Amino acid sequence: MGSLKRPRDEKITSRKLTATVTTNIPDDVLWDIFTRLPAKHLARMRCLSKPWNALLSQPSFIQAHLDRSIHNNDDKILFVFDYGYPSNTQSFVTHPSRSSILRLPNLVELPDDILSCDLSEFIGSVNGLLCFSIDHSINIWNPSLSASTTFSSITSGFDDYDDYYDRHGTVFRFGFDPKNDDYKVVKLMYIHDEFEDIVKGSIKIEVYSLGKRCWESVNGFPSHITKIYDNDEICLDGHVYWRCEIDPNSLRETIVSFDLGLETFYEIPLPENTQGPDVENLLGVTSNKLCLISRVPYGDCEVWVMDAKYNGWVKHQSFPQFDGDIIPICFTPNNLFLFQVDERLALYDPDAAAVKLLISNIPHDNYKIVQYVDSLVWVPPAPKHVCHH
Amino acid sequence: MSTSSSSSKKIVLKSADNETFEIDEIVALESQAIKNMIEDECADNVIPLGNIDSKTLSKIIEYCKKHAESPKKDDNADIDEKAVEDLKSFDAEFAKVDMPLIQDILMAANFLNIDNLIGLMCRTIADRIKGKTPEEIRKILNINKNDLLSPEQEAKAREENSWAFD
Repeated sequence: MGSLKRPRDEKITSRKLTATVTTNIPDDVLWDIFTRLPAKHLARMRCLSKPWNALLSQPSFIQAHLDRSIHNNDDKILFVFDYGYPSNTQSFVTHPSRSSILRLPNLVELPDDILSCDLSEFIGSVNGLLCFSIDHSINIWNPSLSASTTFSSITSGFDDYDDYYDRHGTVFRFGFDPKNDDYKVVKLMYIHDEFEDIVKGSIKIEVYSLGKRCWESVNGFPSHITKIYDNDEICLDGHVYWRCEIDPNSLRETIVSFDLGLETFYEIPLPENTQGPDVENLLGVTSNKLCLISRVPYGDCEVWVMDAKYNGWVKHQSFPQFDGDIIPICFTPNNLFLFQVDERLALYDPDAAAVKLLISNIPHDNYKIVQYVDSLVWVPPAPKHVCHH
Repeated sequence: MSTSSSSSKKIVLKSADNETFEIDEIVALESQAIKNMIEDECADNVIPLGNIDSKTLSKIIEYCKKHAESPKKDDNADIDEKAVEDLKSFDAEFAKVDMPLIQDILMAANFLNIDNLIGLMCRTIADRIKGKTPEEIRKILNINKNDLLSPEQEAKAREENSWAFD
């Protein structure tokens, strides 16, 4: 008689399968079932049984759940944040096979401290965590778990600019450092010229580690930067980026990249074709690679992609003229191009060469659009000891 | 043995309650575990499945027959969409059974290593659990009483996940 061997998992063959199988679903199968459930649901299920609590709290499970959440091809949910009026935040669901976007009225419940503040600024999102700057604090929010945490964004560097009306600029970034399995907020501060926003003096950088729960200074930001743009909030492979100007006359731009693990800076030069006073650039991510969306108002819109080894830019695609002047926003995870045209939001599918979805009545361009990712990721609570600078 | 003659060859599966099922080898090959056995030439004419009852086994054979007959994705780049839709609606109908049977099928599919069927059953269970309370889930998945958290452990777990109970 031949015997049946299960090749994948020896443990299963040794386990006696009897009529009581229903009480005894093996862990690898439970794992598969559970990665398909919503994060909030799973958090509640942790309280059900010892093995489940252990399984659902494992970092590898949290990662597997996140991977399925990012890569599933079902509905994609977009948040539209209104800068000046956080309570106007709306959420929408898009579906690849549907021709419209559905509005989800009750999906977003912003934390009270974001809602109650007039000026909240979106800093970035990674692995389902969203980061905001509110007054003098930073708020990290996981909408899938309705969990949020706040810490002060006042640092020793900030105190140097004690006159509030002094012309100082602050730019935040938020990202994940895979080397140390840590989430970090990067604060960039500088003094600038009142009229032209030209950087005067040195640029200060402080990094907040959610693991260590403290701010620390980092040196080495390139000194020849003359202007820093604030609207390229992306985090990719443990790096955050700033698009900067290096010459106020020619308006030449460069990208400063920051490695969150090593805490070092380096520069990425931009393609020659994307330089010039008429060109407007924006950083983005497509197919998990850094990209530059470059356009001439009322003209062409080109996408340049950085190759995986960061050797150079490759022109990826060039979009046709759309009906009206467009404002590029980002690529969705399934590589649709999202942009604003007049008071509408549109999604362009490059493969089908068709504009697929539209939201109308976007009142102004003072908003941010963020992809919702269902995620169990949460940051550890503050340690008891105080961090020393 | 050679696989070229497999289309005509028959395999007999024997359930825990001693019922026998004669099926085409091509149908049995949907199970990676049986496929490995056949390739290792350690399969006799009758393969005993001492942990799968006849009700579950007949469902599994129904599934494997349908999937063995359907054109595979790598056979032909442009399979007609009707075949894909047909298989989808078959899967949807197939999964419309009660929870104990779903779990029996899942366990058996896991044992026989039939990847598509494992995925289908996991998806089905996940869809049925969604929106249920923890207590209902505890009943659906029939959690072993020995595994329950003690009141103190449960309180601690609730505290750690307090934001999920708003």
